[in-house]
Amino acid sequence: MIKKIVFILLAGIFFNFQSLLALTINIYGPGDKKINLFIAKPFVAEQFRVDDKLVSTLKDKLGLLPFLRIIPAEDVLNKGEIKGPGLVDIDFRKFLLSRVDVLLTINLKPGSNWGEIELRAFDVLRQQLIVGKAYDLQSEAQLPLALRSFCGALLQQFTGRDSLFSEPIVFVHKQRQKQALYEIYADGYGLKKLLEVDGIIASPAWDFRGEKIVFTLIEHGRHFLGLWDKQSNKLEKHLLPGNSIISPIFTPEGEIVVSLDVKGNPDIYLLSKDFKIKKTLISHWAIDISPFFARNGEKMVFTSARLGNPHIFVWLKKENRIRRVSYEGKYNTSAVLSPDGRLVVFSRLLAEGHRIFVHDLESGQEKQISFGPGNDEEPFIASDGYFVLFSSNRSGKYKLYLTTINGDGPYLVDTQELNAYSPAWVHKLE
Amino acid sequence: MKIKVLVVVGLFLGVLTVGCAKKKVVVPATTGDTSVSEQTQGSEIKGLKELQEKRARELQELKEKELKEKQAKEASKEEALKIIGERIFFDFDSYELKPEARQVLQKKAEVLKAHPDLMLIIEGHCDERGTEEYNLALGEKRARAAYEFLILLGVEANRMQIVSYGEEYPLDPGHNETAWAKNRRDEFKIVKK
Repeated sequence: MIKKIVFILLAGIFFNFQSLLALTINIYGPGDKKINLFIAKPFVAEQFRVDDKLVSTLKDKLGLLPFLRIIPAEDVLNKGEIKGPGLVDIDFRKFLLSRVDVLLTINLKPGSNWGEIELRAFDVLRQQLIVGKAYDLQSEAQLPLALRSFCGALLQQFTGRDSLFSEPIVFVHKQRQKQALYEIYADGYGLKKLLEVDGIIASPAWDFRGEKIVFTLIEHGRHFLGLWDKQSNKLEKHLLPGNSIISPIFTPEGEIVVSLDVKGNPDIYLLSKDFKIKKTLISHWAIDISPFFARNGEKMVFTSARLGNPHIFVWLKKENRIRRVSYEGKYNTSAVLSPDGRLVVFSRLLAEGHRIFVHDLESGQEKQISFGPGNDEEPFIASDGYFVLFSSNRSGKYKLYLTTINGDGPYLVDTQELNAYSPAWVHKLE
Repeated sequence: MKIKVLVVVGLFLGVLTVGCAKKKVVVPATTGDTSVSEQTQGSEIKGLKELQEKRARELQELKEKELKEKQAKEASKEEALKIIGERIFFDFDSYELKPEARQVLQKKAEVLKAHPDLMLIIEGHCDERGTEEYNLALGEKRARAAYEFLILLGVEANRMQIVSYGEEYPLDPGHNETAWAKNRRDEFKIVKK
């Protein structure tokens, strides 16, 4: 009897575990697990003529999530037809037999304004609703907004975090005489010009609250520290000691760290609130640039030419110790750290051009995640430690591309006709 | 009464003759000593003419000298600007001055010392192959290498300024080694005091 009870309990635990696995995904794993997702034919009231657009937009957004496999209707019994969008209307058995893990339903109906859309995601195995959202739309233009919001909620459900749809990216657009900073989300939503200057903009970086952007500004033959405030839309320009201001970045505490040539050589300094040098962090006769902090501020990666060629190093704050990260290649630059401080993503120059690599600081393993053609440069990891952005001229023009630490995709970030350089994501503090 | 009038007219004419001598007014001779007066006047006129010619010659010479000096100065300035504007080039991922770059900088130093009114901006540039941040640092090192060499050659530090543009302003927009070699450079721009 006891054996029987133990068996039932174990079986219960096992099945529960299996069902949990079907709903979440370990994005830090090898990246081989896929969730099969099916989008049922939308239920759309007669006055709306948007069914194709609804499904295609949803597919575009969800197509950015490499752990999802979108199942075509032909692969599902009875083409996956359902009686209605709610739980009680669905016969889950045919989806289960067709190996569908998640079923999405759409219901667009008349509302108090333009219309109301209900979006639901069901766990087929457990026959349960996992994400359900309803949006009261003022106009048709709000439809994509509702769809991306739902996709964000779904991503949150699967991975525990939504960097892709909720955290903005800043990038540089270069013209002959002027350069500008733009904001965009990784799915191409919300392209917006933030500022434009008659000079050069380099290395923009958000603060950890997503309120300010710091960058190098070169105007009238001089380097300035540019500081832009999102709320006031004001640009401050600060002259700093030395001639060159390179790769400024915010610390998690909101201070600015930057490479300056105060001693005739680019070294890394911490600035005070009044833009004076507060502390020297890294000093060497060689070039030291591109500092980047983990979310807890305990680790900082940087690029140094102290060994003759540019290589990646990590500075361990507590021990005040520097550790070499890259050993391969002769030109490793633009390193960023995952928020947990485990992964270093950087660019390495190979014979065929720059490529993006991921280095695991714990295991020491290194993996190439981009393969060109052209140059893949300036990688930036999302705050989920999973998605990676980089700029590439693979199409002949520099554009932004989205990949993951496993090298999925890459997917073009639609910046319309604009060329795009130096992408930087917000790393919001939790 | 007539005699009085004649005397007054005569005196008046006399005063006029004395007052207008510089204006070379030839007064009709009223006395019998005509030959001496003509000779004196003739020699005075000749002297004046020679003086005028001499002065004109001197003025012309002076003008010519000034023109020559100006032309020489302009030529020298042009030559100076040409020398100053000469670029120097670097190897990939290097900020070491090559022997030919040192020669160019030596000529620049001489020109700068000869023209103390000239001030210089040294711009460091890179080819497109590196990443933007590293190229800004490398451009800075390239500009600084020239700056420090010129200081060693006796040019005052306060007459020079350096700026790095990284890979932003290529000389040749090509994507091959010939273009890259042209783009790894220092440029020298004149600013007047």
